[in-house]
Amino acid sequence: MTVDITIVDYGVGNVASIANMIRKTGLSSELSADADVISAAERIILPGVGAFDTAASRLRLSGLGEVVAAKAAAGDRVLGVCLGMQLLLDGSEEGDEPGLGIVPGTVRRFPRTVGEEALRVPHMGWNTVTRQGNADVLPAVLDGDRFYFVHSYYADPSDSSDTMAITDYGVPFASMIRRGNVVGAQFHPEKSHRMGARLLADFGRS
Amino acid sequence: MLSIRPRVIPALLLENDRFVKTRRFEDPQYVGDPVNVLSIFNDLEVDEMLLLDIGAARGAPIQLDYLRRLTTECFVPLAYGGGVSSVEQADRLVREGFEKIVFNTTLLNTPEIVADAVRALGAQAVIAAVDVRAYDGEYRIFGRGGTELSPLRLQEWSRLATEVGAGEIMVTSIDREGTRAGIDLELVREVTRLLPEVPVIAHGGAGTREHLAEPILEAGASAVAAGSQFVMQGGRDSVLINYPSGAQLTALFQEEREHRSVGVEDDAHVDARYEIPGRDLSTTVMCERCITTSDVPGARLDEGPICYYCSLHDELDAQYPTGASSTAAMHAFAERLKRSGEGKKYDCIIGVSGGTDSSYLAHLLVELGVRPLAVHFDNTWNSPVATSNIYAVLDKLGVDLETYVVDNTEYDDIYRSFIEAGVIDIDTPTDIGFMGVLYRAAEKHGIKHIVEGHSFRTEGIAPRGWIYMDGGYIKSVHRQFGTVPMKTYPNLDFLKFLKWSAFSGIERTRPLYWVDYHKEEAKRFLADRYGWEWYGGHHLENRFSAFCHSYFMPKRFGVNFRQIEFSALIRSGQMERQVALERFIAPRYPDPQLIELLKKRLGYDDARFDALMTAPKHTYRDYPTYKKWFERLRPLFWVLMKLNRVPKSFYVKFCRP
Repeated sequence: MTVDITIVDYGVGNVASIANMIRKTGLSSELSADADVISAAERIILPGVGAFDTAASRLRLSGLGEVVAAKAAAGDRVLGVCLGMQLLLDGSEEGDEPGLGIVPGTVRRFPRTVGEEALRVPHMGWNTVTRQGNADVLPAVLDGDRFYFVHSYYADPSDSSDTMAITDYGVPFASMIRRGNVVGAQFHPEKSHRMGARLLADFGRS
Repeated sequence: MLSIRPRVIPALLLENDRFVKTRRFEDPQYVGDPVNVLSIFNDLEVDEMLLLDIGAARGAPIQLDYLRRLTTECFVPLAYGGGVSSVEQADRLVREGFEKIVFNTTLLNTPEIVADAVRALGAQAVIAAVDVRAYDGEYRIFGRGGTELSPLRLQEWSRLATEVGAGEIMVTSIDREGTRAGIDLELVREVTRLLPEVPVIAHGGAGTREHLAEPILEAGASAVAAGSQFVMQGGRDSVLINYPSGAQLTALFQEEREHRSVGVEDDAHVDARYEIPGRDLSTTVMCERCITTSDVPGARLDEGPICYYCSLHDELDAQYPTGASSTAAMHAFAERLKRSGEGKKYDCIIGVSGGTDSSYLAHLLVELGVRPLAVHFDNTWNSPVATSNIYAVLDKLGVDLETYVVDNTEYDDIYRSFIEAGVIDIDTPTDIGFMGVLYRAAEKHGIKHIVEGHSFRTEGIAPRGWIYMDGGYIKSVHRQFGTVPMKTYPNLDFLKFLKWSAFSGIERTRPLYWVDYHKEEAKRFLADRYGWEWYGGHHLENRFSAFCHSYFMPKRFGVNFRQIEFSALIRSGQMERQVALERFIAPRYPDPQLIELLKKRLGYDDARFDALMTAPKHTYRDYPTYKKWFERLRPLFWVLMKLNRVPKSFYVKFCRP
């Protein structure tokens, strides 16, 4: 039996929750740190929480970063979640390590103030997304859907057509990005109730 | 300014394998089984959950294995607090499915560990928490679960939290915790002023929905956490899981929130693993009036084209005709209740389950000026709809609630005993426990009337061969198969039952018999008036009952209780026979998650579960029960039936051989 979704296990992130939510949607998943398994996978999720440099260097040292980049280049389906999404870009203001460079752009920190007011960072809680075109990918995600966010940095793609959805937290930012078959979500679908389940089911059946 | 909605977080206190509620960090009171409570909150789509192990906070080890069982139940962000004192522990917890780790005592004693955790897991995964109490006229910080005074003042602590780089702050007022007196806004203002750059969770004392909004609208907090409010209801502090409705949150924070649909929806899940094939009618004879078939015990279809249950219905219908005379009878009954309650706080006891019948009956009684005390037997398998419905209806009616929460470990052992006994009536411990709790409440408060929400017009009468129940049955099955001593389960022992029914003068009445009770209309009415929600099927308001009715009985015994319910609805003109027939013969698809939940909760792996589902079958006759006593004392129970001390169905089913 082929597995619907393979989760890249490079020692970073809350992989149990992602696997748990995929099981809830009725799809199958596996955790793998094996380059061959990931290369052959139907669809992969690149998870990640924590610091950019820690994750980027683990990805690089394990050799799995190259595997993910090769799959993206080959047109396979890839979903980056949270820090896993940020890693798809060229780099981050949070650290010095390079990203995977699959989606051109950089990762920026939220401003400390908006107007006169301090902006509390991390952006933490439930917020809505507004789609920006790209209607062919993950059609189950609709304008106004609420997802759970927790992050201090956000993706800023240099090509605006790579922005798939935006969310407002003091500033509007790209909460979802997309380039070909590679998609990234800044929020946590695995912790976003029914809407997150719908997104993962949509990805797993795409 | 921001589009983000403030978070409202249930804070749940874990003590071993039980959830408890404390007051000012003391006197833990048991509130329920963690797996089920978390699952209810999950289905209620709460914003986040916070799990605090109060034992671990005071030095007991972290219960990693047990916590793993809880995280798989959560599809919302989950934080853990209690005894985390190393980066390795925090990392393990994150990998087990917790998004955030709360550091409290460790931050006071060894802040470098918290700084390391921030570096390893990211700031977003670290909550710096502080427990504060007024002491010598100022706010002072206490570590180790509120037991150790820290030399740090709030200002120094804030610098520490900033220095370690925690992504979030939680401030708890020990003085307010569990008091429901409102959040200490002055304290929250002080903390949000000292820490303007990170989100702050305000915790301790939020007793009402309005209290939830105050720290956010008036004190700069980003989120609010509460315990008692979400696990208790009303002035009597009865256990009842609840969470603000979409409308309430909208009103609180003036924000849109999507209406959520919750509940165990029957047959909404097509999963071939658990399919129950459609009913084959070729080998059976069906009643010409309802859909009772000749294989239903006591149907007596060999005696004529109309089943025994139809004639029983007609008999009851003649005895309780609807119309002017029954309205008068209902009013007379209400007057009797009020007279018997003179000089007391309550006129009668009403058992509530969150279902249609008991909700509607509570409404009727209050309309008639009766002051009921609602009593709920929480078997720790409630669905979110059940608790939300009880909350919605009683809150609006202003009816007091008393909840008896059974010990989860003991109760699961009783359930396992029944499943292992190979009998069909595995949910009778709930019926008997409910009855036991109603009698106990009546005795305790000196109340002489128990009213029951049963209606023969909508529920019908369950055949004895399908369901048998008495306290002796529970004792003997548990004695044979159980492993945990039965200590707190409110069983209905024979002598107690005799005392309450014969000597205490407690009457049991089913007032819905006097009402032209129409199920669909009642549901619509309750939804409009009370925001009550339909849970998808009779018996589905409780997860174990839902398992029993949607999977266990049809799959293992070929018994479909809808046949009884639909037949009753046909007789009372509330359902077309053809519609009932079509639904009766269609295949069914129980909720696979319900079955997974049951396996996990009772500790069955797939092999064990499958073995139990196909093991040899037994009936109540294979175990000692009180049946012989009921039969021997038949004349006494006939008198008690005439005195309304036991229902007629009890006499018919239990006292006849």
